[in-house]
Amino acid sequence: MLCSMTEFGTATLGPLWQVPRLRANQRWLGGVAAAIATEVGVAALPIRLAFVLLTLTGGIGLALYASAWLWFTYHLRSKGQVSTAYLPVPKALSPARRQLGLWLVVAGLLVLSRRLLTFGVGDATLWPVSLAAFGMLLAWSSGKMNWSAPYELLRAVGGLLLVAAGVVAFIALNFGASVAPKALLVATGALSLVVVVVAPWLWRAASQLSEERLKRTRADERAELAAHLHDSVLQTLSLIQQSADDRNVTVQLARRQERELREWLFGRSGAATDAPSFRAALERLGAEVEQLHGVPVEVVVVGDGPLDSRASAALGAAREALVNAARHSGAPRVDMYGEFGPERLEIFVRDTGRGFERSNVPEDRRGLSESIVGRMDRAGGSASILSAPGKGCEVALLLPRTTP
Amino acid sequence: MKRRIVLVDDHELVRAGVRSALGERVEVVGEAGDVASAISVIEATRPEVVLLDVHLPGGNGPAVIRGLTDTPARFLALSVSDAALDVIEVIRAGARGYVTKAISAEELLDAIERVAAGDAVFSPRLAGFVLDAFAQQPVAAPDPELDELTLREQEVLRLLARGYAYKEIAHRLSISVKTVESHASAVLRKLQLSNRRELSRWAAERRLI
Repeated sequence: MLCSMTEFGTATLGPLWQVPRLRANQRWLGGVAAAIATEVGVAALPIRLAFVLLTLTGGIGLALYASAWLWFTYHLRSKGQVSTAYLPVPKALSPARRQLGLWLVVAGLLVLSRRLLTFGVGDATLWPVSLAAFGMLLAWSSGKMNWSAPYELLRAVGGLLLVAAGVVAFIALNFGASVAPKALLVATGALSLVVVVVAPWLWRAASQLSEERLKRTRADERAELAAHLHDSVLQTLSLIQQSADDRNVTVQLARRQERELREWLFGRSGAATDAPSFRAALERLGAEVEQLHGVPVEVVVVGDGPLDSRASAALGAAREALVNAARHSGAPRVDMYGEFGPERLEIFVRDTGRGFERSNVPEDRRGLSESIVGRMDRAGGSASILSAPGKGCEVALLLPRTTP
Repeated sequence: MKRRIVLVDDHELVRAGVRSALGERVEVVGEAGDVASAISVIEATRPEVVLLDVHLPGGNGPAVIRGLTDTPARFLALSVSDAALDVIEVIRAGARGYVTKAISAEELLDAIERVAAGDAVFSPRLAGFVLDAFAQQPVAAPDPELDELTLREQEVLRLLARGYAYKEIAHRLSISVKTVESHASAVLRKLQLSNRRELSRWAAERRLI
């Protein structure tokens, strides 16, 4: 989710300031340097060094860093797509040229900062303020307050200490060392008062917010459930009422709905729709053929794994076998068994129907020889068909898995 | 002689459906819709076979089997449930087999007969579940006697999963039907006695718990 500062940035500066949003382990502080580096396509180290150098030579680095951190907006790439508002920065042709350009910019800024910052605020103000700002950045950048991670804690505490040091230094340098303790005491007192007053309110607001969020999530879940049931179960129920006289249609509808609901409930193919697995593909295939030809297909799968092109070929052959069995065998049910083993992949399609003699199948019926046997041969596997008149039929598909 | 059976299912309609499908060929001596009444009905009527739904109000199928300490009844699980863990659980609790409600009346009668005779009944789906569960390599303290299937048992289960009946398996492997039955019973025993934690780990991996 985007945080509020991002929204602010988008409103004022538009997409030109967008940089990639980085994961926590990619950032050192606010992730500004790393984000710029990623965006431009160079290593992060020189950018980081440039910020440090610019800071040490007059403080502009810190100002730049802080403003970049505040004004940058992030575009999310997590879902594999870049938001439409995002305009990528044109990149120089070769990495060497990019590096060169980068160093030139750094050098220019360096010179500029020496020039600019000899006037203006003096060291007595600049350094303590820089220190405090840096500490603040450090403390805030810990993001989610995850106190169990020692690194996060260290960062937050270190940041706060730096802020305190900055404040003390500011007072000591500008008003003399003698007033520093008193001033610090007053500041601390005022601050604690604010904390005492504000903290409970903040706490309540935060818990209210999370409670509301939880409620909304629940409501969303309910709505999704209702929508799903409406699209699937209720539709089917009304269809069944309309065709209650036709037993075949009713049974078919009920079975299809049962499969769908079960798939949804047990989540077998929910996440697997992008990259279908062997199991999900076989189950879908069974459901498809059952729906098309009105013959129940019992699918049993053992083991699972990703589908590659060869496995897909085997699936194509299995489909042909299923369709043959459903259309020609006259069996009340077709069994399909798939096994995804470590060395090979096997699919069996079996019916207890009327069976046939292979030599009696006419030449022009290409289903068996081309779609099943030929397809398996081309995929580097084999197919065998076992059938006799009156004895049903079983098509066995075997595909060795080539180990890379 | 007609087998005396008890139907346990929380859906009145399902019980009526099963009863009418089985017709006059068995004697339905009792029915129950939850765990507590199932236990008392079975204790009172002492049936030969109990058709037991996997999911029941008040503790599911395994709770019924565990609640009956002394009964000659044999249990056949009957469910639409696809969740492998539930099925494995009811078998581990002592059911002699598992069939889906899509089964034909003829096949169900055959399964009842088989269970009453003390045999195991494997639907293709159960065979698949068992193969899948035992396919995982055991991590700790494997007991080959209980934790692994023999090659022959695997062969039999594969054929069951492919939709073969016992007789067809016997013919295909050139062994007797009795031998096929004893293999099936051995698999059932292993499933019930094995302490493989993998059975539950396997289910957990499939997000079934």
